[in-house]
Amino acid sequence: MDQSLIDLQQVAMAMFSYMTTDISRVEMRRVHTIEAEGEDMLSLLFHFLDEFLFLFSVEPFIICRVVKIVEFDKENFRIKAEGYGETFDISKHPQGTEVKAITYSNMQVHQESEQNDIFVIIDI
Amino acid sequence: MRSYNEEMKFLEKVTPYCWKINKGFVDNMKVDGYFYVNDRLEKLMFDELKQSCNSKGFGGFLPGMKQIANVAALPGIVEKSVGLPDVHSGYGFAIGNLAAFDMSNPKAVVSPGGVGFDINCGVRLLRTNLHERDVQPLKEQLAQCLFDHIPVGVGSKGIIPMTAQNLEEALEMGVDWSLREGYAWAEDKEHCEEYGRMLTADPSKVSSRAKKRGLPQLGTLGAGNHYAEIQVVDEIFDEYAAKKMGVEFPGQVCVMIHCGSRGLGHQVATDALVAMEKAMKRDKIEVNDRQLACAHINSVEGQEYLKGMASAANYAWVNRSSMTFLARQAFAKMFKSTPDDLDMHVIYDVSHNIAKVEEHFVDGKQKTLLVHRKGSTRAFPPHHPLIPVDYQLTGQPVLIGGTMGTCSYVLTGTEVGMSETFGTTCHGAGRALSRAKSRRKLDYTNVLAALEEKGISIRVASPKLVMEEAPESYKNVTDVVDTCHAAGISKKCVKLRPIAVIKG
Repeated sequence: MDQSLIDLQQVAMAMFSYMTTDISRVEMRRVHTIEAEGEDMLSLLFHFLDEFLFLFSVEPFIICRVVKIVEFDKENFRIKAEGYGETFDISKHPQGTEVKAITYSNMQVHQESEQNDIFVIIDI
Repeated sequence: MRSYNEEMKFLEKVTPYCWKINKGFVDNMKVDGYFYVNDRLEKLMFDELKQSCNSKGFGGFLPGMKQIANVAALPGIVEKSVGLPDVHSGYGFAIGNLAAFDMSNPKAVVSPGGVGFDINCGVRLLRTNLHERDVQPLKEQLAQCLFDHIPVGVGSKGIIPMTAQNLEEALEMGVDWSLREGYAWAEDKEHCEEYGRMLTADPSKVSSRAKKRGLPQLGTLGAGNHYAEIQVVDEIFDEYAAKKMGVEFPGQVCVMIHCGSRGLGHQVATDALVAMEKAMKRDKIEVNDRQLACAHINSVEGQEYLKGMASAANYAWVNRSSMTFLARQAFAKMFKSTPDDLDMHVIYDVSHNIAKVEEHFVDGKQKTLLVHRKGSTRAFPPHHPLIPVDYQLTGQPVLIGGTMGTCSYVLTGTEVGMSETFGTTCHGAGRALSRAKSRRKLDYTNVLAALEEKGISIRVASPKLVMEEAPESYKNVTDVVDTCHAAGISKKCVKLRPIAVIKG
């Protein structure tokens, strides 16, 4: 798999890992699909994360342990991804902190670099 | 990219408590930037800048000074972009940043970044007629009782029954909704900014995504730096003003509530940011930072945002009213009394993330401005027509929440603040360490032990993250309010210290 896809998945999983202090307690009981599109790489990244944040924030409040990108259209900046997880339950999952929003503040995607660094600041 | 020493050439100290950021520090600055600091706070500000120069902008946060300057580059800004003493790196605007825009200038903008994601996040202070010695023996039970009553932390759900129709009405009515439903007292309204209701609210401008996020969360405290605290009066600096607030003696017990508009506000801000990015291309507005997305005040996007923001502000007041109701119930239960007999009145309720249309004097002329306060608090002076009758002679009470385990303050607004900072002062301690750094440097068990040592009861939903909120992670709130006091932009009135903390 393309390294940039793996890294994008990691960004989404890193966000979910902030919502509980023990992500290993999240069972992969359901799969949810999100779709996101942008006008450039940064807005695609913004919307990709925002869709997952929305998935967590409304009924049925899904927290994902694993995120998989199933389609990635680099030309038109479109992503289709699956999140594997379950309903967030405070009696089962130790509460982490709340992500309020995704921000563009100093957002960086270094596709040219070897490590393919991605920086996103989320508001918590 | 410039070196630290090159950056320093744009900065000059203009008074013992104020620095000026000259035009040229970032591109397109229309006015200069200013920030208020004392020696200790100054060091933190310059460290932030140094760090960013050293990393050559690779990852990390933008320093607060750069953000103040980026705001100074927004179209239609009036006079200056101001950083208050608690200023630190935020998103787009710095946190602790103030900027006013001229409503009569068709190019002037409104920016959701200048309000923040947590629209109308604010602080409310309730008084009681109890003495610390009445509460001490029951402190643990009282903390537990509050924790049981108030839903806290990520993923918690509100216990106040709400339907979609209720939510629409709450967004339109603010505290009036809480009053009608029996959650608030009529007197509460008097002691809120805007009387707890922004009349410009239009719930139809709030997306269904935002309403979906907001519905299950009404009456929840949230996480991060939000809290409910039982505090006692530690010191009274201004007896006359304190008396007007019903603060009579050291040791008097108060309750402070810090929360905002929850997911509803976060989504209103996100929606506006996305809509404005498109409008900016159309209207050819250029900004230095993508997070500073903005729209002309009178454009469709600008107006829709202001109406949605006002609805989210109303939600926040309903939220603080709901938590006030829960706190009053908890106290009544523990002391086998009624909230009325415990004199649990709202001293005041401030908004520290909001944009408001206000009248100010600019170069001797009265102007209508859209004042953005991001992590800063309105602090109107005595005799201002927009502050309640009870505070006409003292100036508006300003509530400054400290951090977990540190003291909090009540200040009052001043004439100097009115003319220097558009009637605005600080809002809290302001972060000194990033959350990641706090986690690396501090251990949560030590943080909890330190609180216990100080005799502070704590109930927290995510104990493993308390180091992020530890006093060491923040600037010293006393430095912050002392700087505001010394600079004259607000005046110290009462100091409070916590005896129990409930947080997410």
